[in-house]
Amino acid sequence: MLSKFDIKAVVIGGSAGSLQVLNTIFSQLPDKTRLPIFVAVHRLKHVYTGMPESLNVKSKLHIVEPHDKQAIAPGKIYLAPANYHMAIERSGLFSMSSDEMVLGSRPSIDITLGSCAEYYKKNLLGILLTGANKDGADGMRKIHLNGGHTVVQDPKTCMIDTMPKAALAATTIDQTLSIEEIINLLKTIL
Amino acid sequence: MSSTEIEALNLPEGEIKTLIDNIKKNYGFDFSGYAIGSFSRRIARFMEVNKITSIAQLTPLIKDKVAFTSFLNAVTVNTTELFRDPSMWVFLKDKILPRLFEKNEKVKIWHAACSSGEEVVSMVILLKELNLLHKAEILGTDINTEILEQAKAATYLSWRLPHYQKNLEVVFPGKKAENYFSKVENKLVFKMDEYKNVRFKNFDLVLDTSFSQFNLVLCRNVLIYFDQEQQENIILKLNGALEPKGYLVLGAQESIDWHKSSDEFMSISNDNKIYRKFKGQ
Repeated sequence: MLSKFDIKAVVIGGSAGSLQVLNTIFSQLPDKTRLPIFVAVHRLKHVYTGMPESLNVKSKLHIVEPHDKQAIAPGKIYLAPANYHMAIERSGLFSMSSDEMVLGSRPSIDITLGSCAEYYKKNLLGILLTGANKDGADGMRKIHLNGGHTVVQDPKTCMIDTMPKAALAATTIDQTLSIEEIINLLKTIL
Repeated sequence: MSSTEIEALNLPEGEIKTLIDNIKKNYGFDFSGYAIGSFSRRIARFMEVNKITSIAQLTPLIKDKVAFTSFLNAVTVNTTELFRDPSMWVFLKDKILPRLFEKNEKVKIWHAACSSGEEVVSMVILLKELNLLHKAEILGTDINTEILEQAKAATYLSWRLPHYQKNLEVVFPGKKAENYFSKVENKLVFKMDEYKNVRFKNFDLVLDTSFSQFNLVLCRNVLIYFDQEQQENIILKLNGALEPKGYLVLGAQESIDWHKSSDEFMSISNDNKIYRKFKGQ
């Protein structure tokens, strides 16, 4: 069973349909937490602004797009910026990259999940939401291989279920949860 | 073997450091200040494409000069586009360039790590439209001689045109990107050699001694590939290359805020990452 004290960070990935889900989740989280939350979602390459602002409206935790080499602070939600891959370097600082797209996307969910997995090892909770391709499956596999806890949104509740299904096929997923259950899980560990 | 399998091997940091030492000894390129996570990812991708399964197997292969060049292309990043981050170009056009050209007879501009040259093309187009190009001297540099040849040839794939158009539309509404290029088969050619005031030069930001007296230096999405210490060195070098009160432009997610040299600069536009050199020497 997942213990609150094992988890030092949360990482969330999602694509088609996930913005609405994130809005619902963030609106119900507390206003303080000791954990950082990393979010990588597919977004339009040329819409540079608006996403953090619109997510911030309902969230009590502050949502920011980090800069390269920025330090990670607890209690913040870090959103991968448009057109950059967001990773955590071995130094524990953020690292942005304009490397080629991965599976047609920049930001790539696999890169964010994978680098969090390597950095936080077993102390990571990874959550993969609704989406229309298989990005994130490999990242979830890395979280599992590094001993972290893996959760996907229940495919039955997804706008498009390709993404959680790909993760379920790729690796061991510890829990398949509805949005309500994901919120409850987060409330217990944050 | 897929990239995911190779990455699962988690290229050992020790082996990567040995590889970096070898490259420095044999070719004089110093990758020791690169951000190791993203650097390893690019090595892993190069290995995957070339069906190489270990660093031990990679090391002898890149002793060959041709193989090394393709390795260098893969591990240095060459993502660029015409008028990338258009709002930055609008800011340059409206706020920075008019002032710079009013105050200076000649305006010297350096595109540090210009890759395949789209940023230089963007600058030439911008200055031409503002009727200021004849008063500018433009230098594009990169560590990679092969990519510099591409920058000189300024030849790009036609399928990128819609993308270029989207960016250009923000900077110059109503202008057509295709009008700046001639079409040769499925390529777009920008006639760079018509502009005698645009030069290209091989330059290693880590190892080479800096130029001087630029009024404007663009170094966008370059710092992100280095670790913090090397970033600091490069920022110092860029600072040294600037005239008193010259401008420095970084990439959208780059910042000098947590660097020692940050008090050498003042922020002109936080959204567009435009800084101005504070102190004159």
